[in-house]
Amino acid sequence: MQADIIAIIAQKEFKQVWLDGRFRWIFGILLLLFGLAGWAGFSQQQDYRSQFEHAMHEQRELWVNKGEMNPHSAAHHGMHVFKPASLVAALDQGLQSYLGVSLFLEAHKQNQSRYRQAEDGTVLQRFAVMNAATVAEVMVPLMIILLSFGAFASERESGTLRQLLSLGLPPSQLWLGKMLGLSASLAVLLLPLALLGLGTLWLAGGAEAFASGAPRLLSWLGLHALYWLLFLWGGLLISARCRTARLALLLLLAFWFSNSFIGPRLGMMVASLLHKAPTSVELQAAIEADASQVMDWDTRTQKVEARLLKQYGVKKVQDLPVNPAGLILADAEIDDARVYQVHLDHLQNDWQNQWRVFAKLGLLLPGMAVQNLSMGLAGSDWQHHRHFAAAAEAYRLDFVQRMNTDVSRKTQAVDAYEYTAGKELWEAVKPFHYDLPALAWVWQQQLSGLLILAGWTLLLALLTPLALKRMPVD
Amino acid sequence: MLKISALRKEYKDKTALVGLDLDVPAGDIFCLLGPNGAGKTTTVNLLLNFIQPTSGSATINGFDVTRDPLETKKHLAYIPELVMLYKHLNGLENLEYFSSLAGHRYDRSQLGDFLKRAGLPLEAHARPVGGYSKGMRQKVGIAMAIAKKAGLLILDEPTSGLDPKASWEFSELLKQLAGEGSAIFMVTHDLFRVKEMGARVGILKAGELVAQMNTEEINHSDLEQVYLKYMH
Repeated sequence: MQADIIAIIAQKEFKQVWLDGRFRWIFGILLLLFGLAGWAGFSQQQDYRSQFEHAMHEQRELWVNKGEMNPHSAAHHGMHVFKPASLVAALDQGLQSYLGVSLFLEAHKQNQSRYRQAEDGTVLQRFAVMNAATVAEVMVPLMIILLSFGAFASERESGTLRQLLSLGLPPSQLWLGKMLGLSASLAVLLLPLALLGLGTLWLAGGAEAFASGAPRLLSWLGLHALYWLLFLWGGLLISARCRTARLALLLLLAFWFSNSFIGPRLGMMVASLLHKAPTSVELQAAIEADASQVMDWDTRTQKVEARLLKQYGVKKVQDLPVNPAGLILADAEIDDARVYQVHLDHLQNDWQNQWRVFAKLGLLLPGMAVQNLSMGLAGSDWQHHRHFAAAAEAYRLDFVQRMNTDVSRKTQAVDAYEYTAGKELWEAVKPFHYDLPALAWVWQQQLSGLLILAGWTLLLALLTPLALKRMPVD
Repeated sequence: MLKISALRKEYKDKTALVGLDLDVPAGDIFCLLGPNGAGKTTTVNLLLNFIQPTSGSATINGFDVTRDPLETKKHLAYIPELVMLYKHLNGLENLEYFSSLAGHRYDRSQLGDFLKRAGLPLEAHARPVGGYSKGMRQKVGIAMAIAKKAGLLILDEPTSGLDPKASWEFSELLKQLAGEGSAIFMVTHDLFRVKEMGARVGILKAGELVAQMNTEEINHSDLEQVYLKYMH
């Protein structure tokens, strides 16, 4: 490989792109789209962040200042918890609108998200959503196709390819030079975006948000840079093999359309047909049916009282140092939680299986794998939602049981349901705190997507020498 | 410089070249004549290793075109019927680009000298080639060959469509280059130029070299008669 010759080709390709007024326009439009989408996403996230702070504070105030009441009633009174916003989600809102960001925690129930944006919108709204990920995953690949389809095919049609190859230039050097030159043109688009993103992260979130968000942001940018390179690579190979630029363009556009539009919709359709998830009405009905089968109150009372009598070595319930009522509530809570958990686990497994089918289609259409990875890095996929829901459920169970055990400890002498507690107990329940999982967790969750992208890279690497060896000259 | 031995090319349904033997030493001009479909372009494509021969061999400066395609291309310059250039680059930039890719780095004044020697007017050097005539493009092609210091020039109907003055200038340049030791292998229909250059001629018919002669030894009319005889 002669590096200087590759550099000369790269330089010429780069210059040719920038001399072409059409591409300057396209780059300008893409930067504008990125800017608008990023700004819209960022404003939305900023709004949410301020609402989040306000809502968390308000919920805490409501919880702490609700006055005197029975602790189990307080558990029924419940509280809302909110998923903290990741600034990187400004780039890809993913499933956030469909999964929601708040959960209502209360005794006996594991609630699903409330106040989801998608509930307020029309069906058509989802097609109007333009975020930076859409620009990066749909619009930029289209631009790459326009950059690459003629790289070899147009030279073949104009006769310059024949001229170049008569010089004794190996096709591999020509390909590499073109790849580098066009990649450098893409870097012109990517670098301002990276700097803009990092700058915004620093200015908006400060050092702490930067430290936690920068690795995700850089990974997100790296992921899309890789995706663009794969698209460019594939585009150049198609151009190298097709006799006419028109045919190369047609094939690339067909792939782009399938990858961007048909694949994801078809994927969701196939996934939901193969792994049907219950509707929320069906889910609720199934939970209620199972909950009704759980031990009745009298049996539970007898069971808990018998256990306590044995534990404390007394003969009568009145002699117990604790009030069994609170512990019966706590016991019931565990059973209720188990019923919910079984059904929600089934639901999550259905979603997981659907997601797996969707992810596997990335073997054919890498855009689907990138879509999943992008949402994962932005923290707006369902795995993150599941992580958040699990943390919220652990918190719910903890605070509800704290209320129930307080009844059992403090109400020895009085009736459990007449006992009231106050601010001291409410304040003892620490506010809900949730941190987004670490980046390593994301990679672990998205391993299949990473493997698919590695597979595509390998496939292109294997096809490159074959395509160049059989490259038609005329 | 160019030696062709029993070079044969068969396609599925036809034989394009039937055992061609040819020798073009340094300083020689050899013109290959023949009707359309006689196998002239197939021969050029075989020499450029754009297609593979069925049998036989060709060497350029001692290197086999099939076994050492990259090495052989270092010793040749190819000028097609219409030299294709990058429209957004000017003459100098095109020459610089193609020369660099051939492994030769020159400064602007050297490149200007090559273009000047090829007969391209000075005022055209810095003009985008989009506005060049065919004759001007061919001159850039010759400048590329000069810059590459190629021992063998392979030309595929380079004067077709050129006006008589441009065609004459082109022939003169080729004669100069041959005089300096380059071997010229040219596929053409232009009998007049062939005779004027005093070239050796081979007539190809249905893939077979049916006649060879030296134009210095026969007059233009006889040459035309021989050519017409093999055309039918």
